[in-house]
Amino acid sequence: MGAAVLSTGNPHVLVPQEDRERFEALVNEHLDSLYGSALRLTRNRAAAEDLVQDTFLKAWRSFRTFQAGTNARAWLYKILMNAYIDSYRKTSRQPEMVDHEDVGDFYLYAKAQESEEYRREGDPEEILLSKIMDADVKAALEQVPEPFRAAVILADLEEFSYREIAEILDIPIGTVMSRLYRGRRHLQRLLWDYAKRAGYVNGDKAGGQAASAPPKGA
Amino acid sequence: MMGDVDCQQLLERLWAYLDGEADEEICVDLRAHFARCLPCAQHAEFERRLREVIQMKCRGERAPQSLRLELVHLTDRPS
Repeated sequence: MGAAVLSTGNPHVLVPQEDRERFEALVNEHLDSLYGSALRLTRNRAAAEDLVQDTFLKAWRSFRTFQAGTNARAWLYKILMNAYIDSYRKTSRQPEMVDHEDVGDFYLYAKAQESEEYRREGDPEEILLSKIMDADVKAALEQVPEPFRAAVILADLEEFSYREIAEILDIPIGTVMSRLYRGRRHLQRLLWDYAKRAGYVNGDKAGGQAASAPPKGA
Repeated sequence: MMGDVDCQQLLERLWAYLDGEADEEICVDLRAHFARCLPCAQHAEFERRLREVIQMKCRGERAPQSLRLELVHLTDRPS
């Protein structure tokens, strides 16, 4: 009888033990990465917890329609992103479309190349990377406006393919690419500001550290 | 078939290439370009390492234990 249960709202219905175990395995496997993404999306621990809870509640409700063997991670992320988009629609906040004037695709590399200061200190790219290492990269990422931030999180942190992201966000692949590339342009521009700030905070020490960083192989 | 790529064509395809989303033919052409154009090879290497730094700094969050316990108890409800 247990297997025939699809009814909702009856707390006395027996849930097959096998389903519980499969679901718990899903929670254990994906919770940390979903929570991490939720945190970067919502920028707030309480909101991230709510979002993840909502995600798994919805996942559990439709668990029977989920076919074992399909991409569980993408399925969970699709639920998460739908819940996230719903929640910012509900709070009537429009997606933050404020856009910096467009900078080139590879802002940081160009900045490193043209920096006289970095050139004097040695390998400009190496110095910039070590400054970014010292910078608050999370804060920079969290400032990338939506809908671009979501694309960057899914591609660069979670390493979903363009096709998977298209499926998760229910948008065409071309839109995935344009959001992602635009998100990266934002992020690079923000990282440049954060890296400069990190340099000022640490004063001379940061420069000294960067200069004494191990030389790049090859 | 792209054949001989120049630096500008490379830049247009660099992100797709680094994302593992470029066609095999394009990958071959880009690698050939890297082999003879050191600045482009260094640029690609910079973007690759930048992504590693971003991942290193932004990943690795652990969900609170209280949340984990709550979620495991979701299965007390009917699915």
